[in-house]
Amino acid sequence: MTDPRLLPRTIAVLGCGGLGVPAAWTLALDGRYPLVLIDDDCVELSNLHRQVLYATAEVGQPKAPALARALLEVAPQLQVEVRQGRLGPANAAALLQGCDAVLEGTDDAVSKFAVNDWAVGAPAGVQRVASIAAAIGRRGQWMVVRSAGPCYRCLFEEPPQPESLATCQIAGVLGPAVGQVGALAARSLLRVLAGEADSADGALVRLQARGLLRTPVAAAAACRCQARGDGAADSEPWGQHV
Amino acid sequence: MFERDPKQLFDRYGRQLLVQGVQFEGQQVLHRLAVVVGCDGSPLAQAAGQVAARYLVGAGVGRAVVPQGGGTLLQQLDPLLQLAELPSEAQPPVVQLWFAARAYGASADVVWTDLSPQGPRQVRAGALQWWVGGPAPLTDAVALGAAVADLVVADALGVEPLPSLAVLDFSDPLAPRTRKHAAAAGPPLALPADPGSPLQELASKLSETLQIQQIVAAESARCYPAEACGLVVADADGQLVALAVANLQDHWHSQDPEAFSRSARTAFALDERAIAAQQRLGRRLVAIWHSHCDVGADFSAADVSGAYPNGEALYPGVAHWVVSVRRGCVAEQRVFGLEGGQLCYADVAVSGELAGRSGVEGRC
Repeated sequence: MTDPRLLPRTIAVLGCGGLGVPAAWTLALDGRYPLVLIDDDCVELSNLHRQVLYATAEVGQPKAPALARALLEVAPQLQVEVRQGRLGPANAAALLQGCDAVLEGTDDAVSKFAVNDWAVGAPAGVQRVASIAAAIGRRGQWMVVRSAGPCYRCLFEEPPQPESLATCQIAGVLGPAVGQVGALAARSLLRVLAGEADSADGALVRLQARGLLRTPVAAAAACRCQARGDGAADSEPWGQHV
Repeated sequence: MFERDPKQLFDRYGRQLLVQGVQFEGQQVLHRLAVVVGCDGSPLAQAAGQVAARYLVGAGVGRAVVPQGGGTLLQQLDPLLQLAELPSEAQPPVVQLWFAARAYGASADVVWTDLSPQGPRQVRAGALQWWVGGPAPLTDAVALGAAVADLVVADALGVEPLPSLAVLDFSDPLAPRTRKHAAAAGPPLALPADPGSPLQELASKLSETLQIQQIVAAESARCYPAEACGLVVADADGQLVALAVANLQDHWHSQDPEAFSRSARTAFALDERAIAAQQRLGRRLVAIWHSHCDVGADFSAADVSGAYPNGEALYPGVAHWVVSVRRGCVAEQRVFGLEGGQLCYADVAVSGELAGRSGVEGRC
């Protein structure tokens, strides 16, 4: 049993789309952590095949409050807050104010790197953790980064040019597949927060048609990340008694 | 074919129709399909069933059969969804899902009843097993439900045929694995036995009799990672007795590795002299049991050919009890038998006295 004093105050779910919906659903079923739902988008009809907690009648409405309503039906005791916005390097600290953990589920590579930098750049004595997920077609991937340990930049270095990325609008996406990825990314986040071993902690896990594939990421010493803050020296995992 | 306006159809399902390998006809298959979701009553199974239903309705399944009043949320997702309140209203094509909590995690059975162009039903089935090395937490419900819906949607859309068995194995948290068995190579279809059937009654008796389970679990653990086998017999007053019998598979394998290509790791050869010996004592053969090591309690193609060579029962009226043993512990168990010529199964509950700690010391 995790010492409740070591539980983070709040988990932010960044992006209330195909990944964010199943991730938030998983976190709501867990119920131990207050959630902050962050999104700047509205529900569209083309979202509903994969963002299955929204109602057709909610098309045109902002996603974050609509998701909050749905989560409260699943878990009435859940503490949930809504923030409107799109995260980037300039506003990450402000938008994630009061959060200790992030489930990154947007379709924006810039957001993923900003969350990575927010997590690994934690000040001394502050522990942050982020589960960064992505999906397209029938496949997806996720990785958990923390104040100490390998990070997203160890693997991908820089955000790719937007025009080089396939998107759901071009390559399509299957709802249940992206649902699995979002839920598994949240599962990994919960395990790391509880101090349990998880395959995505410092490694990229891919879900493909032929199965799960884990790729360990180079250790922090090889990381060329420039955002790593003083908190990198704090190597205690989440939830572990110190 | 569609009741939806074609433009709205693409607006709604365009993202999944763009996926490589998806066939447009598959969207029609989904639209005609009814989903029937059942579960064993555990919170995990209930939640996973709700998740799967939502993803299937989201993908375009046109009909749902739900408990009374339970379809409101699904209709909020898709107002054109047709609801039926009773299982008997589910006419083909229909996909039936059954979620259950297991000692090793959770499972879901998928049975798809279809209509061929000529009219007769065609049935195919698969299963997903969710291995986490113990009871699965409620938080696994979303991933499990989505994973099951993924199998159905990928099949309907022509992306991947329904596998006979898919295993998502998280029992080693640092090395998750996936295994899929293709439909063609998988075991033959087994359907759940009817309530009150002899097979269900036997499963209930075995579930309630700790002494029998202890004997089977102990022998399975002793032989692990090789398969164990034995008998369940009824004495003169109908009392069930379990016996362990030697597995001769390794002996035959060493004698003739060409004819007996598999070792006791994946096969069993019961010393049938034990059956005759029990009959001489006036005991009636009720079931033949054997263990499966690190795989599910399914009736494999090899099991079928051994029990029903040429389609006829080698021991008529005798059930076959398969015990799944993982790391030396009993994880799942089922009895199989013929009912009206159809291979059926019934789950045998793993006694709480045994769950998770029946195996070889240090392995569980």
